[in-house]
Amino acid sequence: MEYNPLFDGTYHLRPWVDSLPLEYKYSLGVAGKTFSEGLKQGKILASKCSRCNESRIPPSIYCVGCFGYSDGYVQVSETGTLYSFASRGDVVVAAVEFKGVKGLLFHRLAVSDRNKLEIGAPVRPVFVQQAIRKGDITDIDHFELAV
Amino acid sequence: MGRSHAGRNRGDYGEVMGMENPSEPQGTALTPDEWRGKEIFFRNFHTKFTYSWDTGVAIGHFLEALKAGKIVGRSCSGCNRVLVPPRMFCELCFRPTDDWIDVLDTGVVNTFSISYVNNDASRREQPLFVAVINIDGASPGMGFLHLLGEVDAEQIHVGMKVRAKWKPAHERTGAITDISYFKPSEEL
Amino acid sequence: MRKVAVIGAGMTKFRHRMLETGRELSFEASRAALDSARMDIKNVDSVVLGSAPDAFDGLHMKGEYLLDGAGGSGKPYTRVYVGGGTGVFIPAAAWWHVASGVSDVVLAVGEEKMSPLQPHPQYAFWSIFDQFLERPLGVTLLWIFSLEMRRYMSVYGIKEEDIALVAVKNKGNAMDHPSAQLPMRITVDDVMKSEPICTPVKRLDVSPTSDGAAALVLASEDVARKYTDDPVWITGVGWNVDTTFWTNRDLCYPEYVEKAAMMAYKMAGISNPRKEIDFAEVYDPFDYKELHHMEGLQLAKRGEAPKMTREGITQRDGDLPINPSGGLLGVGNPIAAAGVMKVAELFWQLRGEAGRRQVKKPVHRGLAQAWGDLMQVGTVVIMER
Repeated sequence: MEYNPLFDGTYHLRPWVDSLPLEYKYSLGVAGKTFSEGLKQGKILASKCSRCNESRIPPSIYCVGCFGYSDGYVQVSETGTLYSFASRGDVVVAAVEFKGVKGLLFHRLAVSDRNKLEIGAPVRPVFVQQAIRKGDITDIDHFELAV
Repeated sequence: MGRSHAGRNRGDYGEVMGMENPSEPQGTALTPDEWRGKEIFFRNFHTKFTYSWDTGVAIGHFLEALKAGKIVGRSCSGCNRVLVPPRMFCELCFRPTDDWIDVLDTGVVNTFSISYVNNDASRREQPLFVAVINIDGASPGMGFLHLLGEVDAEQIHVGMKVRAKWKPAHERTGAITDISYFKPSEEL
Repeated sequence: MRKVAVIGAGMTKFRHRMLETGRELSFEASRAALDSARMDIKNVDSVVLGSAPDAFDGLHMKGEYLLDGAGGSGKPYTRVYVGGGTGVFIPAAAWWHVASGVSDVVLAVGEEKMSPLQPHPQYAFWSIFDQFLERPLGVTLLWIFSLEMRRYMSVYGIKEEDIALVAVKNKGNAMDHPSAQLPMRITVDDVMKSEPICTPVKRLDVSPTSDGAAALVLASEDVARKYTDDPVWITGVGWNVDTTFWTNRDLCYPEYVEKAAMMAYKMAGISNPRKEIDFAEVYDPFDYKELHHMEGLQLAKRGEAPKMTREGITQRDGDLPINPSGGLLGVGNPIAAAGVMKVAELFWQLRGEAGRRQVKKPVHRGLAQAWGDLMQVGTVVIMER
């Protein structure tokens, strides 16, 4: 396509820069609110579906399997197991699974001896003091090896 | 799961005819107090996306022309239209357009509004006069969005003849805002 | 093409701000639609979901985010999007899944959660405008509707009071809708005295921003007859998009709506829509849009929709009831969900299940329409029983 130099003969493409500042306020939702309230009490809650005989984290008002309403919430076991982990420098991140519960919880893992890290190792959550819990996932300060 | 949902799963469909649908619609409205107060229900997130767009061939030309104090369009010999804003292809004929055409910096108010809000829906202290202006020298109905100035709210009308109020040449940057606004070109 | 039936519909409440996440809202509406069709998710072959700009939620891949809540995981799943026209485009897209033989049962879901964006959802629309020619002027979506309303009034000599009658009617109709966000008994005077936003648009001329979801179950003829004695058929669908150079169009008449309607009328074998359409759910995010769209849909002659409104023809007990649900002005405007709500209203009205909202005359054929993007898209669905 032909395009003529315009006016001063120095037509050139140029960038146009603009920005879009965006601010959001997200509702946690029905199940998210219950999960959050559980964390404040030092509990990790899963939703359960009695038809599928299944529990899930994070909890949901519906069962992903049968698309019916979940029946309620259950507290997961005190101790979970290490499903997988990754590390960078001093930070170890872990995916934790709980017995009889579908879904994984991601969190930091505090570990003094890296040699003890292995898939399937028992781990447990360490909550921050009750007075400073906010109903956030950070109410769990970290997980630690339960051995 | 604020309500007993056990009975809502399958099997109990009730009488269909004579019912009023939607029956028992679900959903939990938040009160203004809940929205403002209970942080536990919310997570806040703030971001700023910055973009750098290439102005492209047609609009690049158009903006350069504005910097030079001119409005330009593109002609299409397929439909014999002069297109403003210009584009390098005609969307009706679906062929390349042909030539750059200098159009005038005068036009007619196609429609207008007096805006009391900003783009985040907050109220403005001073209302803004906005209009679609059909540009003289382009084909009928060819125009663009701009502002009106040097006019009282009561005087603005559909069909009002206007002329571009240009920024001084040294202040122009090659932007749509190189025209400060359009003002009446005839005595009102 | 195979015949396509609607056999179920459901929706949440529509509210300004809701506790439920978008996923949870999608689930509530989808579950209600499946229950009303006496079906389970295992019966569903594919899912079509619609949601409007990602900017409301700040979640790109929003279709994927909503997937589980719309029952779409592990199934053929499609997100469709044509701005405000999305809601009626969802059942159109679901229709072609069934008509083509690709699927026997399709769940069609519309979801919108507008409340997260601060300080106001309106801000999301900043990002739909031309970044070179329009954003630098401080454009808002409200400007362009005000400009269109003014042009419509100017060309046909229509008064603001005539347009206000639509807001009065629809907000009043919504008094009978269990999901309604803004049911109100108001007068033309209330509308005229409400706060000016962008003249001629005033506060009560505009629908609210909302959170909500709505869903439908579509099925092929053989499946539909197994599940219900009373299917409602989709007999026409149409859609059309005009140029994005909105300042190059005559804003007094929506040609793209006419073209979408003509596509649907041809499919449904309709030659005289004013006589053959019994009632309609016409897109009404602003009160003037109902009139504008009635004309585009050929349900009124150009410039004459206000007269029909004034004469009461568009009331629930009138000859051509328009928006018996209460529309977006009354029920609320969670964008994609609002369009699906309109198609759900056709379903309920045609089956005689609209309760206090049931139109007076017997109805056999209804039309739902939506509109959007930069005032450039029309989407139409015609249903019959």
